[in-house]
Amino acid sequence: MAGYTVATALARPRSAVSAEAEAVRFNAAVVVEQVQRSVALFGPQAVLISRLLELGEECRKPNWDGYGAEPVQPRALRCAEDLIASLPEDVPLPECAIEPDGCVSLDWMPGPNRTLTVSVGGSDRLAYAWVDGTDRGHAVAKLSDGQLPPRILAEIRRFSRHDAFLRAA
Amino acid sequence: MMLSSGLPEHVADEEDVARFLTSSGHYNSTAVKPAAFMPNPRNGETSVFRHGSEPLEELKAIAQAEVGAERRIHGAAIVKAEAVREARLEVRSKEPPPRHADIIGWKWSIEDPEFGKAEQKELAALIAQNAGLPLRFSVEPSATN
Repeated sequence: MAGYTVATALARPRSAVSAEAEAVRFNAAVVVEQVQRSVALFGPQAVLISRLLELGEECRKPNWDGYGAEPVQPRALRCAEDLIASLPEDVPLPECAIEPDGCVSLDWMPGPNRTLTVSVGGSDRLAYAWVDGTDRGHAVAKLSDGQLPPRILAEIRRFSRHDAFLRAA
Repeated sequence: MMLSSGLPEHVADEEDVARFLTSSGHYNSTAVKPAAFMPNPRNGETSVFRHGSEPLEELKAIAQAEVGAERRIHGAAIVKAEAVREARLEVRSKEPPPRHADIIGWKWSIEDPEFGKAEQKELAALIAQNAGLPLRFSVEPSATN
């Protein structure tokens, strides 16, 4: 959302005098309006997908991390985008990261000792792992009609229910 | 045996190691994400530097010299070597550059790459949790393409 923040600042009315400055302000205002409209229409998922694409742009060249990382895989980006868009309403949204092998990581981190992380890459098999206090493990699950498989959705719901319980306590 | 940096070759359990955060997606305001510690697919290792959060200027100088020539550094994730070993991995000194080390011992599976990756993610998540809050600082690229 860094781009959106910049655009918001640029779009504010100001006493710009040059035609170029006014054109920048106008274009920024158009961007802000489009983002706000997409958020209104599609909710936080649109914001998350925007963030994912921003990260994709950040990681599109080899060695984007300075440690020799592979460029982000376009198929992984598309697949992650589809997965985010198809998340059921009762499932909290993840955070995104790009991994050194070019896969997209979708991470649910509801607390300091609780992480569920799913890797979206070039195949239809998803590597995932969880650390929940002293309970931890890893597994692989197959995409289910282009959506997160029920096993992973159940794990996410378990994580989020636990979080809601802790908040209520 | 002492290395050219003056550090002993063996990385002690109580030593801090720093993983520089080179992607805005590898941390949030409260945590470091597992992706920050995932190994490089080319050499199967995670590059770190033997340094804690202080002195910060020295840490930033290492970041600038060794990783930040062409990219912004957002900060560092710092963990004890002991935390890496608790994840059944090892920290091995590897100079030059000075103070450099690698997290080694990541599992790779030729027969089932995704399953090997899943295990890597579990261990990376464990290390990331031990890192706690990301140490935020900004080092701008010293060179441009």
